[in-house]
Formats: sequence, structure tokens, C-alpha cells
Amino acid sequence: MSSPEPRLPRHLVIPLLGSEAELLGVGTYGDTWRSGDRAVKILCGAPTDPRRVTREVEALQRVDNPHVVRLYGLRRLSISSNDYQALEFEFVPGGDISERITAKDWPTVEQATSLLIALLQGLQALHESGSIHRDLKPANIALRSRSWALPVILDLGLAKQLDASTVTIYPGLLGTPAYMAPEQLRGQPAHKASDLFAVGVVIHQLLLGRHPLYDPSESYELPDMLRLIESGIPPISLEYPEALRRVVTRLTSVQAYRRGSTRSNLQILGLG
Amino acid sequence: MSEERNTNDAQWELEEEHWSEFYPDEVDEMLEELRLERADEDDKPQHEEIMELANEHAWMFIRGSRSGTVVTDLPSGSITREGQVPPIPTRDAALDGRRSILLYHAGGTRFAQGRELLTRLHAKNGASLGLGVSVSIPRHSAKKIADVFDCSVAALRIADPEAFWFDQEVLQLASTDPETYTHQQTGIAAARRAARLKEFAPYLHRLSDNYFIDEVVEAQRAAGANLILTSGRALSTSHPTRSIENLIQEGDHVHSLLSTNERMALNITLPLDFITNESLCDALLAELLEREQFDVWHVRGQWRNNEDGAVLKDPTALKFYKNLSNLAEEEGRVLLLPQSGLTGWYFLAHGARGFGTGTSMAQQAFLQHRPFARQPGIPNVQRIFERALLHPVEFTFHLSLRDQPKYVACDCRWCEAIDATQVYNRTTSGWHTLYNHGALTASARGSDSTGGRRAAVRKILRRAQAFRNDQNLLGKNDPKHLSNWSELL
Repeated sequence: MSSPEPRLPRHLVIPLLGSEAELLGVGTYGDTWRSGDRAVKILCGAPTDPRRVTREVEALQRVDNPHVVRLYGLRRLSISSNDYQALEFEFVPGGDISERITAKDWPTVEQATSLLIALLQGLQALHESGSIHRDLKPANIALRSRSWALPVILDLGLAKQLDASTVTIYPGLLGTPAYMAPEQLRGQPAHKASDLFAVGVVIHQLLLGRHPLYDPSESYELPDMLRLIESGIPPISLEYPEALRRVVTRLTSVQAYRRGSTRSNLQILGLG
Repeated sequence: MSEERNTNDAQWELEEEHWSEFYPDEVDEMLEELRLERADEDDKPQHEEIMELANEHAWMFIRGSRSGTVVTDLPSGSITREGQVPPIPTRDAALDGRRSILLYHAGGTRFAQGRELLTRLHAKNGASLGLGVSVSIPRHSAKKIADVFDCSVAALRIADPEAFWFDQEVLQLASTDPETYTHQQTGIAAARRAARLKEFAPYLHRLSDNYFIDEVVEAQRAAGANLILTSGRALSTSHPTRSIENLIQEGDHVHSLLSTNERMALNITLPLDFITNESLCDALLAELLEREQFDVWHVRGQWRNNEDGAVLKDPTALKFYKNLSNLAEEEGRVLLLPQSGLTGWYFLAHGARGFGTGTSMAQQAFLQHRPFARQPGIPNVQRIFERALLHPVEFTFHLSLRDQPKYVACDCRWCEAIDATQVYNRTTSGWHTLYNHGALTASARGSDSTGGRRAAVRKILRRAQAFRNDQNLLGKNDPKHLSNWSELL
């Protein structure tokens, strides 16, 4: 796969971020660059309401959890006589879960359990700040030092409310829609429980060695996706520990209320 | 019984017949003054009993007109019962999950009996039972509210704003518009009732203005409540999303008004169409899960008024209550089910923390209004709650059951009075029912080592079903709800 091109030209961005700056990714709202030990997301994509950005930043700066990427703050970059807002995050080395899935590098049950606990703890901190991620997926979960036990939730706070009518999964690309909760697919507002659904699907996929619902070689339109989800995500193997099975089953429930809160799921896993 | 008494009783029955055609709970209330003026056996001077209060050099009256009163000197002439009255829990201790909660809904009957009954329940079961009293701001006078709140063993005092009275379009309530009645007297009574609701609860004039919520809170404070409720407007099946949003906004508003020591509950009123609509229920439960700021839910559902009486056996509605109770338990929220009687007791097994009940059917269930005409002179069927069956049965049948093997005899003092005379008394029977609901609540606590509330309730249900199977029960004497309830456990 070829590297994406940034929206803003490299020769204009690199002088502002440092000569060693490198492009990490291009998302809906902007381009993310690495600059030393920081990741800088320049909001040059879909229009954002500056007040909403400020509000989100204030909320996310209150989050202090090792499993949520640290947001240092908001800065302004002047590029080609245009002002852009830019979010400065901690850069987490070690790659993300999507890279491990591509490499078919699966965790053990113990590693998956540690990952699940850490993700729930991270989400708990995020939700307590009043934020909902809305776009959790393997590509948004970094593994610090390549450790399954040290996940870090990335790309916070500005996930777009997707237009359900355009949701499609394309062959070879299990992106955002493949981890979306049924209520999001229906175009309803995302809840905390929507983030929990995504975590459940990710863990299920890592334990199963494939996505529990979608075949990556197929394409799926919205009605197919809803039908698959509503028919129920198959339970994980009985050979796994009961608490793990119970939590994954809860998290991947069609009904949002059956997924429970981060707190109750952590309790089932023996924490809290 | 004197001739005068008989005449009074006849008048009483006549009045009640007339009123009960449209508003049973109101009947109790409107006729209370009549009751108060009449002597009955409960008003006779009684001997007083006291019991030592645990952890204090003091005693509490547990029988007689001073029930609940604590004294530091042994009063002369009273009987001292063995044992100790457990400490009275604070509001927060009552809600912390160690006790099941019984809320007494004030009705028309005099509270002197209720105060004694709650005191006795506390004295006997206070370690496992939390008690509360609940009054209605629109339906009860300030005097009545003050009387009921004067209850030392009640850890919870709820003054319910009951704003649902103005949700006629979503709930099935008796009309407040006199023009809709063909019977003139009934229309006059409806007008009087509507006027009284707004007289007692002036905030009902301001349903749509900005100060409505502030006044709802203020009215509860003025009444002396220690658990503040949101208004209790009913959720709408036509605009469910908007009505749920309004509920949450109102909850946040009330939350913002609380002072340091105050605590609130989200007060939810659900029409039957809501309870039996799975997608609406899912949406509500998702919202309740999401809003972690609300740790106490006070949920009143309107049930179909049919031959099942004050118990719920509709499988769809039961499923909703089960999901709601499970969610509350798993998420560590306190679920109180007001006006749910024995059904509320049953849901303790599924995770509800408490329920509301009382001496009459109107306090044990929030039923859809069903206008009906009753032929004058046809007496009410005399029914009494049978603990062995978890069900009220005809009084004569009750007398015949008492000699059956495995019969669970009631040891309440109100039963003693009935047994002594073998004569049915509706008021006494009502107190017996309430006492039994309390005793069942204490029994439903169970222990963690034996499976807790779920196992304890299952055991009680099984025993009732076994007893039922040994009897020849017909018609309304048959507790048909038991099988539906057992299936869900």
C-alpha cells in the first residue's frame, strides 16, 4: 500500500514541525505528523467548529491514564497564510493493533485479557472526562513497546458522526465501520456503550484470529452489516476463562444496555 | 357491635362504592376524615410494648399510639419485650445495598397503625430491612404528609411530585374534566379532584415554564423529603427520544439544585405501551446505563387493569422489569419500584433494591384507569393476603386453609385480631398485607453464601407453588402469577 499524501504540502509543514517530521496518517479531520516525541494532528480536513475543538481539548486534557494518549494541548500553525488548529499528542512508539492483525501476530489468551482490561481502564478514564471516542478500531490502538498489556487509545475526541447512508465495508479494508456498534450504523448518536462494542469486537477478533462478522475479502452494505450484527456475534470458545467469555459476550451485545459500563465489566474481570 | 356502628358501616360502604367507581386511591383519601371520626377496634386504647434500642441506653415503643418514640427512661405500665431494636439506618445506609427497602405509600387509612407496623417491622427485621415512607404531594394534605413523615424508623422520606397526573395523553388516568362524565356527581368529584391536585401542588400550574423543576424540588424540601425526586412526568410512546431527553435534562437540572447533604432519584413514569415495547425499553435502559450521574432510579410503571389484580404477570412487562432490575444490580444503581406491591418484592430477586406498597390495591399497583359501574348493594369480596400462596384469597377460604399441612401461618398482631374474632375487617386485613410484604422483604434478603436475594425469593416461590399444588384453588383464589414469576427466575 502506498503512503498517503498529506493535504498540506510537506515542504510547508516540515519547517514548522522540524526537519525529522514524518507523516503518520491522514484522517477525516486532518493530517497527523510525528515531530520528535510528539504526534501533531493538523486540523486541515473536514471543517471543525473551533469551539467544539477547544471544548474537547479541555476535556481530554483532564484524562490522565496510561492507556489513553496524552494530549498536551492545542496550538496554531500558520501555513500559506492560513491558520490551522493543531492538536499535540504524545507519540507512542511500538505500532498499533492493525499492524499486528495484518502480520497475523495474535495475542495469547492471557495477553488478550490484559489488553481488554487495559482498554477498559483507558475507556473508563476517557468516559469519566465526558468524552466518547466513537471511532475505536485496531488502527487507533497503539501498543506501547509492542506490549499487548500496554495499549494506548489514540485519535481522541474528534471522531465524526458518520453518515450511516454511506457506510460500506470494502474488500481488503476493515476500517471504522467494521467496529461500529449497531446504533451508530443506524445513524443514532454514539454512547459510551458504542465504544465498548468496538473493544468487544477487537478482542473477539484477536481471540478468533479473524473478524467475528466480516470476511475481509467481501464487501458489505449497511443492511448486510446490520443483519449480521443483529443475528448475533458468535460466542467465543468455551475453552476461554469464564470471565473473559462473559465480558466479550456482554460487550458485543446488540442492545447497548447489555454491554454494561466499563466499571461493571472490570468488576467481572476481577478488578474494582 | 352497636346498631349505630352498623349504620355507620353501611353509610361508609355506600360512600366507598360510589367513589371507588373511578378513583380508588382518592376514595381512601377523601374518606379519611370520615374514618377518623369513627371509632373502630384499632382506636381502642392498647397496652404499650417497648424494646431496648441497640447501642443506646434507650427504649423504643413498638406497640401502641407512641410506637416509634424513643425514651431514655423505662416508662411505667408498659411491657418490655426481649431483644433489641436494631439501629435505624441513615438514608445512605438504607440505600447502600445491605438491606432491601420497603416503602410505605401513604393512603387513606390512619397512619397511627402504619407507624406501629413499620416500627414492629424494624424492631424485628431492621438489620436486613430498610424502611421508607412515601407521600404524594398532589394528593395528600400538608397535615397528612407531616403525619406520615413523623416516623422515626423510616430511613427514607419521599414526597412524590407525581407530575404524571397531567400526562393524560399517555397514561390511562381518570379524566379530570367534568365535562367528560355523564354522571353529574362523578363530574363534580372529578372537578374537585383536579382543583385539589393543583391546590396541593402549585407547581402543576407551571408545567411548561422555566421554574417548574425548581418548584418541584422546593415542594419536596418543604414537605421534609430526604430523597429528592424529579417530577415524574410520564415518558411518551409517541415521542420517546424527546421524552427521554427531557427526563435526563430534568435530572441534570435537579442534580444542579442539590445541596451538599441532599440526594436525588430519577423519577420515571412509564405507560404500559412503553413497558411492552422492546425497542423503547432498550432505548431507555441504554440511556440509564449511560447516565452514571443518576445512581437511584424510582420507576413506576402503569399496568393493565384486569383480573390479575395488583400483581403483574404479563410476560413482556415482566421481561422489562427483569432487564431493568438486572441492569441496576450489575451497574450498582439503586432501583426502587414504587407502587408495585408484591410484584416489586419479587423483583428484589432480580436486582431491584426496594419497592413501594401499602394497604390498598391502589398503593400496590399503578393500574390503568378502567371506568366501571358497580351495582349498588353488591359488597366487595372479602379478601385477605395469604402468605402461603403469595396471593390474596377469599376470607372464608383463608379460614379453611389454616388447617392444611405446610400452611404458613402469619404471626402479625393484626392477624391475631382477625383470628380472635373470625370476622373480616378490611382495614385490619390491609395492615396484615403490608406487614407480610415487609416480612417477605426481610426474608428475601438471603445471604451471599446461599445465593442472596435470588435464591431466597426462589425458595419462597417454590414453597408457595408447592402449597398451591396441594390445594383446590379456583378463580381468583388461584395465584396464577406464580408460574410466570418462577419461569423468569
